[in-house]
Amino acid sequence: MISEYSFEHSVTTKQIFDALKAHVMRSRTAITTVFLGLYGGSDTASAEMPDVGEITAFLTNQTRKSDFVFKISNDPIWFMVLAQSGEREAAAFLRRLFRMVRTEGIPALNNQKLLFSASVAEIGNDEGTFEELIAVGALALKKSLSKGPEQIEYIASFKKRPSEKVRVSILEENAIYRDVLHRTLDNLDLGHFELEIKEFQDGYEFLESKWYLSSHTHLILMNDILPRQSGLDVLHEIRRLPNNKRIIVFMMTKRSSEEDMIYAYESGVDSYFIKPFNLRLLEIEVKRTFERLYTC
Amino acid sequence: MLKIPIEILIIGICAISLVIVILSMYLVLKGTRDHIVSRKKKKYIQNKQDTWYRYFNDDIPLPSELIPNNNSEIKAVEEIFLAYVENISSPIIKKKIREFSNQYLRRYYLNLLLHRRWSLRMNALYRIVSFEIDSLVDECKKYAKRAKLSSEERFQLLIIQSMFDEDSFINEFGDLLLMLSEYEYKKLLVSFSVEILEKLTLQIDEFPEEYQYYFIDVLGIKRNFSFLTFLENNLSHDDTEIRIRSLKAINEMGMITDLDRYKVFLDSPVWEERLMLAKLLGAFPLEQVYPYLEELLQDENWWVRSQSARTIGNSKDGKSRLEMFIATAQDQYAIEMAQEVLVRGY
Repeated sequence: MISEYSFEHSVTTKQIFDALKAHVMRSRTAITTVFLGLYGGSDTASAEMPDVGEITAFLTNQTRKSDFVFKISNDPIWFMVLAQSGEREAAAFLRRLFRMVRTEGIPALNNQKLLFSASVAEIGNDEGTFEELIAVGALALKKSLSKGPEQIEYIASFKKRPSEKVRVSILEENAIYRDVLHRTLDNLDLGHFELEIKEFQDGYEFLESKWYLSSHTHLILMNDILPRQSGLDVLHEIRRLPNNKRIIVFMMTKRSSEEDMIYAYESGVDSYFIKPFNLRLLEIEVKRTFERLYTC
Repeated sequence: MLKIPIEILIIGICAISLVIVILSMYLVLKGTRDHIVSRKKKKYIQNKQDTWYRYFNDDIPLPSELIPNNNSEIKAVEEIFLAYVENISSPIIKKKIREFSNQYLRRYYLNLLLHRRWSLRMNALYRIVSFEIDSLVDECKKYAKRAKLSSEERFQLLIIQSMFDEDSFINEFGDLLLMLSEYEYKKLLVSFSVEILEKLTLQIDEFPEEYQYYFIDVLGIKRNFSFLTFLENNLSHDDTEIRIRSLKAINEMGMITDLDRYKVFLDSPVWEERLMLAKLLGAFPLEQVYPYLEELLQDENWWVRSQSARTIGNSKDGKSRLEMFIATAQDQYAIEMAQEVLVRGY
């Protein structure tokens, strides 16, 4: 019976944070940590101090099941880890919380009205340590409390997303147009995504190169009709790969038949361009696609 | 045995050898010339495509280095322009190509238009359309008056007229179309803008019957809602074929708004109209149109029954409606049709 097992080690706050931080890299989903302090809390005599246990329970109740709330010993300060949230979501959550505790109060404390301030740090990479975060977060909280109630201090030092290499393959028979596509993609500013672009004149050359077999996110921009092996052949081949979700396929075609489009989407293309098309459209589509890779 | 004097034989061999030598020299020279042209062309493309890209995409004046100095470079410019116009839609790039072609390629294409080789003249006609070289329109008008024109030349000249001289083209269209084959006529219509097609709908009654039918088919291919009113007005036309083709074209657009307008086809004596109605009803929520589809499912015509079963089957909750129909209906033909769609799944 599993309920009879007892675990030798209990998990620490640091371990939980480190696990979530590692997940940031794999899932490309930011987490945000919050230091929440009771305004005027340290000046309050202990007899007047509200029941912090009830406040912790209230805060846990206000967060999502995927979030964590920890009380800092001795001080009326709480450390929260908001999983799957960016800085903006965290700020919106805090403003909602501030309004609620100011106007309605905390039910378990006889609707006692309270005021908080906070510091917020979005974690976009796995470089910073837990200890660094605690030090910087606590300092920023002090600053926001000194400014007054319902203040938020933002910490930018953990936010930067690591640069990520993305492979791009251009499969197009016409050398001049292939070059135009290459230059267009090369000129794109995609933030922390770094494009490594290669050109292929047909599907056969691309499949033979085996360049698509790496674990990189891979954007394939290809014509449907190509000599030797067509774009559709390539599409079927790569969608058979076990880890094919990392491959994004943009198909270009001269045919404007809706049936062809439906077939291409059913076969696994992510976007479909009918030639001739505006290069600005391609640029914005690529930008949006890469922005979407980060969910928050 | 035939005896040929040795002198004649030697002269003959020499003559043949001479011809072979001259022919070989010609081929070698031609090959070398082609090779030089192709090398120069390649070199121009390699050296200038970056500058062309910047000129097309940035707001900069035309760099003088792009102006071609000889025919090889003109051919290179032609290849670059074609890669752009066939693949990229941009009014700015189009305008730059038009201005450049009118200024620097006009003379080259004018010479080709006057060339005795048909393929070179055709090339010029194609490029006038692709690069919108309107400064050659008057030349094309003269060209169109030539006594001997191939059907390809005539067709391409019509496209040029439709692009650059729209009013005269629309006025003359009723006469012009008689010169075209069905294929050419449809190809021409497909190449037209929505504006030209809209103007032509006003004179469609003057076209021969067959050409009216093709015209309606092309409106379906174009799938533009601005033709919906014209097509819906055709639904009360005396000509059955026009009504059927209009229904088909409306079905291609995939959207109808006023159901009452189509209900009359439930009792049409023409099965094709009932068939098209069964298709069109798929554009409405099943709840709203099920009674009509059930009626059509019991139609005397196999095609109508089949289509209406498919329309029901493809709708949300359609499969359960078909099952319900099978359980309660009397008409064995209709029941079999419903069963077939359920088994096939579409």
